[in-house]
Formats: sequence, C-alpha cells, structure tokens
Amino acid sequence: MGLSHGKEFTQEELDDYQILTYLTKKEIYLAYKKFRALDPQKVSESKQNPLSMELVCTLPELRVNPFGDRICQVFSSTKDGRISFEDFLDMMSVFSDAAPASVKLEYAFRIFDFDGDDLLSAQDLGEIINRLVSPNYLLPAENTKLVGHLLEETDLDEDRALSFAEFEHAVSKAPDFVRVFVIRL
Amino acid sequence: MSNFRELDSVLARINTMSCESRENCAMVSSKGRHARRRSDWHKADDEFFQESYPSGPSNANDTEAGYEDIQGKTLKIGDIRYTERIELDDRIAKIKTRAEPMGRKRILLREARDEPSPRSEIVGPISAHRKQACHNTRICWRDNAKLFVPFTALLKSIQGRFGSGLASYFIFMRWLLALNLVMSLFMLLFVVLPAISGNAESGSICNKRDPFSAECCHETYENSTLVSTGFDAVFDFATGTGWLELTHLFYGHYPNVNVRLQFLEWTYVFPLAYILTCSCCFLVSFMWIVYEAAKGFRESLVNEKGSFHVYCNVVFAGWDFSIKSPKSAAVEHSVITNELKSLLHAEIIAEKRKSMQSSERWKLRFKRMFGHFCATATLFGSGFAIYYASKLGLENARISDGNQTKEEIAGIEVPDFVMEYVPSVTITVLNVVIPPLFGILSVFEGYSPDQQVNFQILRTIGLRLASIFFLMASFYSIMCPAGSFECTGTKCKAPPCWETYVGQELYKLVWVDLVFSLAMVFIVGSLRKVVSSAIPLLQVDFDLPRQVVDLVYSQSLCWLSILFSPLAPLLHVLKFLVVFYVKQFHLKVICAPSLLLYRASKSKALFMGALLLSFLAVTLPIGLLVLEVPPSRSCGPFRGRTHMWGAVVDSIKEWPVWIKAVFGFLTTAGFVVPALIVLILCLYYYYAMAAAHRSMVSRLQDQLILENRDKQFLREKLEALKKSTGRSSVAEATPLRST
Repeated sequence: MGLSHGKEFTQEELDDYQILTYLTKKEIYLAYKKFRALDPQKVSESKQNPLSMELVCTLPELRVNPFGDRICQVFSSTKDGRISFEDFLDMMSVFSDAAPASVKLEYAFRIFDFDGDDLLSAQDLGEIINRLVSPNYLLPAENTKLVGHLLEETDLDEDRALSFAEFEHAVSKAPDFVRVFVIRL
Repeated sequence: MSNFRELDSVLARINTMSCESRENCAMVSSKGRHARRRSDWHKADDEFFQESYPSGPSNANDTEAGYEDIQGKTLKIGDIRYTERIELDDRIAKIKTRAEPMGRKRILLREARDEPSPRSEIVGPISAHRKQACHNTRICWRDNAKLFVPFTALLKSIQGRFGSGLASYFIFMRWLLALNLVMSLFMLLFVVLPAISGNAESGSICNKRDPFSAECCHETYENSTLVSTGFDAVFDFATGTGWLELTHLFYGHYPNVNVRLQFLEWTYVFPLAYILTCSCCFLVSFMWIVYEAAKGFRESLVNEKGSFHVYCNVVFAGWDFSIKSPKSAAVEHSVITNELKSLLHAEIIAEKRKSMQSSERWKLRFKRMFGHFCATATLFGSGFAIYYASKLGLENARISDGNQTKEEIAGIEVPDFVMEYVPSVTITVLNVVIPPLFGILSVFEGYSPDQQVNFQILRTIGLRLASIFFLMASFYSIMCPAGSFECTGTKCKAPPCWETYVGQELYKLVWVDLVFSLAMVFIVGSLRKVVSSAIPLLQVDFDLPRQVVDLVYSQSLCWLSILFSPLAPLLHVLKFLVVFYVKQFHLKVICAPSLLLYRASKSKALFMGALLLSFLAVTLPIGLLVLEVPPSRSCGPFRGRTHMWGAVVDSIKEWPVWIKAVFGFLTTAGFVVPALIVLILCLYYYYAMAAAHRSMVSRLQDQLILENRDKQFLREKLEALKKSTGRSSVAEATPLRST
C-alpha cells in the first residue's frame, strides 16, 4: 500500500487527524497500514470497527510490553479494551516523539492506575514493579520495601498513594520518562 | 481619583486572568474548600479530566455525577470567557492536548471551528485562510524535515532492540557527524576552494638576492620534499609524507598572499581567511556544544540538588516502550530487576557503612587514596611514555629531513616506517590497555557501581587529555623561531615545516586509531565471541562509557588538527561514518546484551560534559599557539609573520581610523574592567535568580504538603460526620473517596 492512496480517508478526516494528533501525514498512513494488517477484512469494511484487545496486543511493541493490556484498556473509546482505528491513532499520537510530556503523563497515569480510582496506591505501585520484573522474581518483602522507597520519594501528603499531581511532580524528576514513553511507527 | 479607578480595573483584570488560569476561581469561591481541593490538583488544561473517566466506578454514583455537572457548567462559562480571548489555533492546540478519544476531539474541533470567535471576525476571513495555509505548510515542513534526518530507520531499529540509552550513543555520533560536516563545509568553501581555484598574486616569487626570505625558503621546502611513486606512494599515503605533504591536506601547501578568485574577480586575503575560518569552526563547535549541553543539563538537573528520584526513574521510566523484540524485552526485564536489586543492595551497603568501625573506615580511605595515587601515577607514566615516543619520532624525522641525500633516505626505508608510527602507536596502545586497568582499580577501591563508572570515565578522559597534552608538549620543542639567515631553526633542528609535521602526526594518529578500533571489533571482538561460548566470563559487553570516551577523543583530535590540516574535518566525517557502521555491527553481532541500564538523560549530559571538557582542553594549546608561537618560515599561509594572529592584526591596521580606534578602545583597561564588572554582575544576578527559584520550589513543595494535610484533615472530619449523620450524607461524602 503506497502513501499516495487517498481513498482510505476523506480529506476532512485526514485534516482532522493531522490537526488533532502529533503525527505527520505519512505516519497516519503508516498507522493505518499497520492497523489494517491486524485484520484486513474488518478494517477495510469500516475504520470504526473495533478490534479485540487480544488482536491489538499482537503488535510487537504491545506484545512484549508489560503494560500492553492496560494500554489497550486506556485507549479504548468503548472502555472495554477494544480498539478502533481512531483509538489506535490516539495511541500512536500519544506515544510519538512529538507528543509533549504533559499528554504522555496523563496517559501514563491512567495506564499505571490499575484499579481506576484516580490514585496510584501502594497496590498499584507493587503491581507496576511486579510487571516490570515479571519473569524474574522479587521477594514480597523486597517489593514492599521498594514501594516504601518509592512512596518516600514521591508521596508528599503521606497518604500512602500518589495523586496525579504527585505523579506529575515525581516524573518531572525522572527525566527519562519522555524519552522512554515512545513507540515508533 | 481616576488613578484609583484605573488601578481597580487593572486589579480586576489580573484577578480574572489568574482565576482563569488557575481553573475557575468562581467555582472555588462558590463551592468552597473541597471544590478547590479538586480543582487545584489538575492543570488548567485538563478540566475534563473527571469526565474522561466515564466508565470508572466514580461515575456510578449519582451525587458524583451531579457534582460533575456543576463543575462542568462552571467550566463551560470559564471556557467561553477564555475562548473569547484566544484564537482558533490556540483552541485547537488545546483540544489536541486533551486526553480524550479521537471521536470526542473531532466533535470539539468542529464546535470550535463553527463557533465564530470575535477576534477572527475582526481580522476577516482572508487572514484566517492564510493562517490555515500557514498551519498546513508548517505540517508539510514538519513532514519533510523528518525525511532529511539521516539514519532515522537505523536508530529506530537500535532503539527497538537495545533501548534508548544505547540509541543515544548513536545519536551522539550522528550529531558529531553533523558537526564535522558543517566544519568541513566551512573549510572547503573558505579555505580549500579558494586555494585551489584562485591564482596567487605577484610577490610570491623567490628573489634570488635574499635566499632566506620566506618565499625562497618555501621554494626550497617544496623542492626538497620527496615525491615517490609505486609502493612508496602508498606508504606516503599512510604517513602523510611525500606527495601527500604537498597537497591541500596540510597547512604547508597554502599560499601566504592575496588570491584572485578566478570566477568572481575578487581579491581574497588568504591568511586572514585561513585563521578566521579556523576560529569560526571553533566558535561554531563551542556554541553548538554549549547549546546541546545546556539542553542535556536542563534535563538531568531538574532537581535542585541535582540528584534524581532514583526509584521513580526506574519504576516509572524504566520500561522502554519502544522495545519490540521478545529477546530484548527479556533482557530489559532482567536489567530492571538487577537495577532494583542493586538499589536495594546499595541501601544495605550505605547502612552498613554508617555502622562501620573507624579502623575499617580508615582502611577504606587508605585503599582509595592508594587507588587515586595509582591512577595519577599511571597517567603521568603514560604521559611521559608518549612524550619520549614522540621525541623519538621527531629525531627520526630530523634525520630524514636533514642533510641526507635522497638516496640515503630511500636506503633506511623499513625502520623508518616503524619509527614513523612509534608515537601514534604508543598513544593508541596506551589508550587501549590502560582503561581496563582503571576498571580493575575501581573495583578494588570498593565504590558503588555508579561511582565506579564515573571514576572510570573521569580517569579515562584524563588519560586521553594527558596524551594529547604530552604530545603537544613534545611538539612545542620543535616550534622555535628561525634566525634571519636560515630557513628553519637550526638550534632545535626543527623540520622545515613544523605545522605540517604536527598535522602529519595527527593524521597518522587518526589512521592508527581507526585501525585499532576496527581490530578491536573484528579481531579481538570476534575471538572473544567465539571463546565466550565456552567461557561466559569473556563475553564482550558494549561498554558505553568507554565507547563514548573514544568518540570524544576522536573529536578532540579533529579539533586539534583543523589548524594544521584544513581537510581534517572531512577526514573525520569519513572516519565517523565508518565507525558508525562498525559499531553497529559490534553492538548487533558481537556484543552480549548489557546488563547495565544506561539512562538516556544521564548519558546525554555525560557525553556533552565530556565533549565540552576536551574541547576546552584542546582550545587552550591551540589558542596559545596561534597567539604566541612563530610560524615556520618556509611554508604555509603565515610564513614571514611573527605569529599567526598577526594576519588579523595586519588587516585591522588597514581599516578606517575610527574602527581602529574602536578596536583600540576594546583592548584598553577602560573597557575591559567595566565589561568584566558587568559580566560578574550578570553572573551574580543569575545566581541569585537560581537561588530564588530554588527556595520557591521548596516553598511550593511545602505548600503541596500542607494542602494535602488539609485534605486529609477534612476527609477525616467528613468521615466522622458521615458516621454521625447516617446514610443521608453518605452520598455527599462519596466523591471524596477517590482522592
């Protein structure tokens, strides 16, 4: 599929996508190509057809990512983990190089917030660490100790949980975040 | 009276402005404390943060929904007021940053476009149209600019397989390539091209009456240089002697007079152009490094104390989302595990150290002092080794350049070839052998892994810089002025053109450096790879710090040789290109995945810091040389002058009187002292500003804590209230649960 094709999108859609995402035209086509390859028939029918989470998670970056399922859940506009093309475009936009830190932060917070209570609690943090080390193993005591250190660094109000503001504050001191929170098309 | 009214209105305006930016003060004041608690926590940009969690458990509750409705309404009012002031573009930009699904964003975009903003009505549709066109060109420009950045796909694959830390090494190399490309363009355009295409003006012909004039000396020098053929020509290519010596690669071949450019009919003051172009290269490098370094430092020194939140960085920024191969994902998992474990381990060590007895502490201190002593001794030892090696090389050069006939020179060819390479091989061997020794030393000293790496880098850079310094020092002995009745200084038996000689030495160093790094990759690396399948201890690791030091060293060689061989940047562009691909091969094929987590932010600051350090170390001797040392009489654009900077001084002398007066004034104490004072004041001002910012940060942090305590206190109160009043107030209190 070449980039010269114009029939996948109407001009209006393309304009909107370019304005509303941090992607270039070329990248939008590339994203479409990638997304369509997951299920050519379904996507060709309509771009709005959502694909199941399992299917989207076969993308190489998401498959190896310990937070792949969370990413799908957060970006799904139907909130059930299914991803339509526009959701996918949103995802690629947020993970692009051009997206500013504030946007990335917002989504990172949601990805890390497993129980969806708008707070990163000690359980959430423990879960993050568990997923990060995944096939390897940390003793539960080590995990709690790490969570303790983490909260010591970041929890300003001592309620044993991170609110979005605290998370923002903490990540501003983890300068690698912006560079790491990137998926290249 | 009217003054007061004015002041009032200004105050009111400020109030509304700050209200809007702090997300709806109206709501704050009307809804009281617990509304503010919510609003303060989010930035002005994400008013709809709550709305964007429609499926969250928080929404199941009716009261919550009602609360949000109220909030939503107030926000809408604020929005309209706000949007009246900003233009469409800003509104679109705002929609873009919203964390909402695309469908909702598109609706918002359509609304924003349909809703006419008063400002755009006034300016009229043409301007709006132009703005749209401009926006589109900006997108187009962004689109196209990406195409022109080379190696993007390669870097992407590296980042995907090895993470962003190692990718930043290759990005650094690409940056160095760009820098060298710019410098070589400068040199080609302003030095090499004019010298090749231009005709030297009269005055450059040897007058037989004065056999020791610069012109005659030059003629003697050019005639005495042996141009050989066949195998010797290849040999000359490797050493930079013979036919290569008489090309534009080296300083000696450039004219010292005005040049008439063939096509433009301009007179080109060549010596001035030469020195100014070289200075420009240095200036451009300096500014570019400082710019990049400032970016890097800004990122790495966000914290006022300059230390990271280490745990945060590992946990929140540990996983590289761009990784896509399962193999490197597995490595990344174990890397993060190791990192976390080592952090815990470091904590334990620190605790142990606190409880350490004083005798043990003294033992450790002694060990470290001994380590530092060893390192310094090694530095000086290798420095002297280089000094003597280069002296030896020089002796050899004197023999071959001295009073021997051409036949005699041809006779001692083979030992000559070895001798030619003694200095550069010595330097390179030392650079290969010593750093691992430093590595062993730092293990013995009992530092934490982080400190180990830092010390190793510092010492390795020290070694590289020391080698350059000692090399320059050995050259200094041949830089002696020739008497009025000789072409070269006979007292110190200098080669006829010492600048070219230095250029040749550096040229050889570039070759030897390249050959050694290729050998290290292809021979040593592959051997170790084969052996390591049996003995895992011998596995090759992509030692990022040492690789970076290598790059920095190459770059300092480039700066060092610009003055002596104007084509050096071009040579380095080629070298870096080769190295770029070879290192990729090294990383992808030979190296085992590294078990150290290299952080991109930290490394960038480190790279640029190292580069800046060596840049300054190179500029110092070069600057001294340009200002103080007499150039040789028989070659180069500065023959016959007392020092190279003289070219600039001479041309200033020809300028109008008032400019001369200005320049004269610039060098007097009357200007320098006040300028210095102003500079110091500026420095102090920025220092004070930084201090103020620091204290502001800590105060804000305190405020944040206080605010949160408030919140907790209120929550407890509400809990109590809830218990006492029973079920009716439960619903009201629920929204607070989520914070």
